[in-house]
Amino acid sequence: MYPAYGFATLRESGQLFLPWFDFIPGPIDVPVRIDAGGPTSALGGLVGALLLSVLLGLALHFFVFGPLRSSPPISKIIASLGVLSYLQAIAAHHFGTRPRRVEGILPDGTIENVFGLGGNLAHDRIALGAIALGVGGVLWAYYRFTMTGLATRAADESSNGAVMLGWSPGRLASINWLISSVITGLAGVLFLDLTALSPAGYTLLIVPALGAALLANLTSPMVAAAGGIAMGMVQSAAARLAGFDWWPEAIPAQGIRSAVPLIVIVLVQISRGHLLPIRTTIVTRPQPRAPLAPRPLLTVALCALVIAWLAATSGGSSEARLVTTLIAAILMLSSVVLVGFLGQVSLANLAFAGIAAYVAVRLASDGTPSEYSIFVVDGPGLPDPLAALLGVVAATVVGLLVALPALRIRGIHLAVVTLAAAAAAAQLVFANPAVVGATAGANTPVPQPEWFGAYVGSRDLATGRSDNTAFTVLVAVFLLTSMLGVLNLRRGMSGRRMLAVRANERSAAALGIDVTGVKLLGFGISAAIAGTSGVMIAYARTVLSIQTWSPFAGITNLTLLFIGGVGSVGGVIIGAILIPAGVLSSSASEGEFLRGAVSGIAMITIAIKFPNGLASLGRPIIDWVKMRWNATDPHGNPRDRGVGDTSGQIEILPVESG
Amino acid sequence: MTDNILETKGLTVTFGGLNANDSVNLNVPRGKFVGLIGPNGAGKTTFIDAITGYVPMSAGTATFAGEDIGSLKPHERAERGLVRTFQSLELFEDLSVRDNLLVAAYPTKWYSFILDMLYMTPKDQETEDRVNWALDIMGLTDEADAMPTDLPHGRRKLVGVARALAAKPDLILLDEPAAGLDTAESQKLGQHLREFLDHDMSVFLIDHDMGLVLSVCDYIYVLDFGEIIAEGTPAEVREDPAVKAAYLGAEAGDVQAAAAEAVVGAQSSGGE
Repeated sequence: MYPAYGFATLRESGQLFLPWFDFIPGPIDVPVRIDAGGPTSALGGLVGALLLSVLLGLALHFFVFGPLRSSPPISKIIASLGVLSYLQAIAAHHFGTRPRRVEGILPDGTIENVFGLGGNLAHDRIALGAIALGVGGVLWAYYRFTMTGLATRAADESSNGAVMLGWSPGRLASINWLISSVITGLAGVLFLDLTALSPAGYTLLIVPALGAALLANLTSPMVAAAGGIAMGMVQSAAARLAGFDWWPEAIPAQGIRSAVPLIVIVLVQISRGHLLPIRTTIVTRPQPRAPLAPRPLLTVALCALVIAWLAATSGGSSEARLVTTLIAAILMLSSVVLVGFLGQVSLANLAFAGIAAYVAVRLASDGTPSEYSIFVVDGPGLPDPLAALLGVVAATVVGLLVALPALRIRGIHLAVVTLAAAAAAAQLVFANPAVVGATAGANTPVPQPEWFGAYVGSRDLATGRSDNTAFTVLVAVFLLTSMLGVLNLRRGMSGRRMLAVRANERSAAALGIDVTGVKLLGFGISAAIAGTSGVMIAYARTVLSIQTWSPFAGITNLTLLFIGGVGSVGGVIIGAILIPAGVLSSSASEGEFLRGAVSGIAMITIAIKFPNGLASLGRPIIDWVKMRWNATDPHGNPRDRGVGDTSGQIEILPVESG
Repeated sequence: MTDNILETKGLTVTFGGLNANDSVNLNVPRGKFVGLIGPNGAGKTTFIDAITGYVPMSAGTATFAGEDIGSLKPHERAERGLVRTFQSLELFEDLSVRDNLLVAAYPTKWYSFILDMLYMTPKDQETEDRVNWALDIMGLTDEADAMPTDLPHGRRKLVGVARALAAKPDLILLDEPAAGLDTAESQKLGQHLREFLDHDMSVFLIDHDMGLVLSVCDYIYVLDFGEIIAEGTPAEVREDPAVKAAYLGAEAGDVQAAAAEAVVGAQSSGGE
């Protein structure tokens, strides 16, 4: 994506924006652009884009993924998401987020009526296919016939083995990053002829690309190239099917197009994957911690007090920001269960939320025109609590469906599958006229929600400001109940089973733990909590729009949770405070850009230095305070409690002894 | 006929044309201590993997307590009382030693998670007692609240065995529990293992440590290149010429010397 912008700006104005920003405020200017003195030729643009790509690739290797070489997969995923956040923010800052059309380097023109089949074939498609296969062939030959290629394959099997044969894994990795970044940059420029350039849309091309790579088992460049072309053909064919009369209108063409990579990835992975990891694939490396909270009720009560105080002292837009923070916290709690406890990296939780939101809104709609949307949406007009409940149920069902591939797919592959699922959900559900009740891309009006006689929308009907107290209370109640539920889950047997599965699926199964059941449980609970947040997001708005549920908004949420700490409620609190448009936000767009860039960098740092998140930094401080406290205790009584000690709870909850 | 808790008939496991287990017939009588020995790569762990459902059987049957378990998933076999340990340390690193055992011991219902989220799961005294007993018998009571990563290697091996005990096995399958232990630890472990029989359990042990296997087992099978080449009581196996030739090496007349060699082999290879 970034090199493609490099090409675009070189062609248009002769400027090359470097992938950073003027990060030092004040008189010292950090150079952020190189001026080539006027628009360059296509070749000049391509060279500039490739240089930019190589620069990025080597920077990633030396500063991000090199240090992470022996880290658990989850850290690499976090770092990748951090890089993504950073580059998207930088691109949005330099170039804006509006999609733009850029003339690429591929030839124009079409061959009409190919082979007398009646269809047309554009020159650029032929050129692109040839380049893909050509690059695939060169790569295949390189890895097959050269010593460096052979050493790379050897190092992939065993980096220690390669060291003993005199190959430095670091140098091999640099070479491969170099190759990879040149190809990526080339691909970025080639895609310009096919699709509009935008930070978000371009990045989603990763989904079909990874689908092709997984098809090739991440090892064969030729299969990947051919598979990618085949997948594109299937996508087009599927989209064309939707043009026929018999095709059900409920499945939009764009939806089926975006579902194809998902289906391919899932099928390929399921056919290759195992229900339990096989002996050679087992790697036990430290995961981010999911510490036991010593006193859940106290934690939740403290949160309740703080929320009540914040709500009482704020009003108007500051209360709206508080509510945004609380809703984000609910969504993060859903990730704590799935990512923190169960270790399954899901990028689809915001999509679960969106499904609940659309279902709840549609079921509650009754055809009354709204002042906020020109569209009139009909529906059964169910009571709002019932519609919300059904929305959460729908999200849970979808969560369980996404869990099915997760039974056999692990680590980064699962993250890709969930990203593909989120992208498919956007096209299949949120842009689906049959679901939204209006034309595709329309904003669905949210009927004024009423729970048991009380109006619980965010907008105060009298003043028109978004600070309705009833809504704040509703969100806080859902947040605190989910928080208590998640904390109890962690100290109960179900949470321990999740941690057991996260730590080691094989030995969990050997002890009679139903790994499949535990994973389904985690996805179900997580999707239900995410669905709750989705309904709350809907109530906070007057209309539902597809952008709210974009996979990248979901990634932002997860990014911030990682920064806070993915396994704990403390992490949720820190993450939620940092959320865009949350309690700490400013209204300036410059601030939003900085947030994206800085959180990206923070995420990478977290992945490398503090995999347990910022919340884990609090523990040593508390311990130190306790130690000092004990040292000065006049009665000499031990005040320190063990982490697993829940005796304080038994007095409060007599059910423990029953 | 004796009452066998585990019976395999013609059990065969094939990896890419190679028979890792070739038509293995093996019985574990209820309440007995049976051992399986063999050199590295003989297919011992593969045999445990096959009967616990971690690798598919290509042919043959496995019967546990009278039931054909060939099509059951690993956790379903464990629920029926067929519990294994792992050669490599496969503990739950995020959980304390006690939690490692509790998670194995606590019974689950489909609605357990609801009770958990409401913090209303009743304390199961029987399960707690079982966990305390398992900690006690393996001498881990003082380390119950430690994290597995904070324990030395030998202690962690014991946690693995204790965890399997907590899962209420009728037959416990021990995959090289003595590998990586020093001689004293290994002998102490042997004393513990015989105690299991007093608690309604049968024991199936595979190990490189010949001394350990010969001293604790009632009956021993010898595996080489995936095939059973001998079986009998420790005395019979000790004197079996086929065993001496195939397993101990033709020139090694002294079983104890070979046993020492086997221990060294286990320690240096750390697995097969």
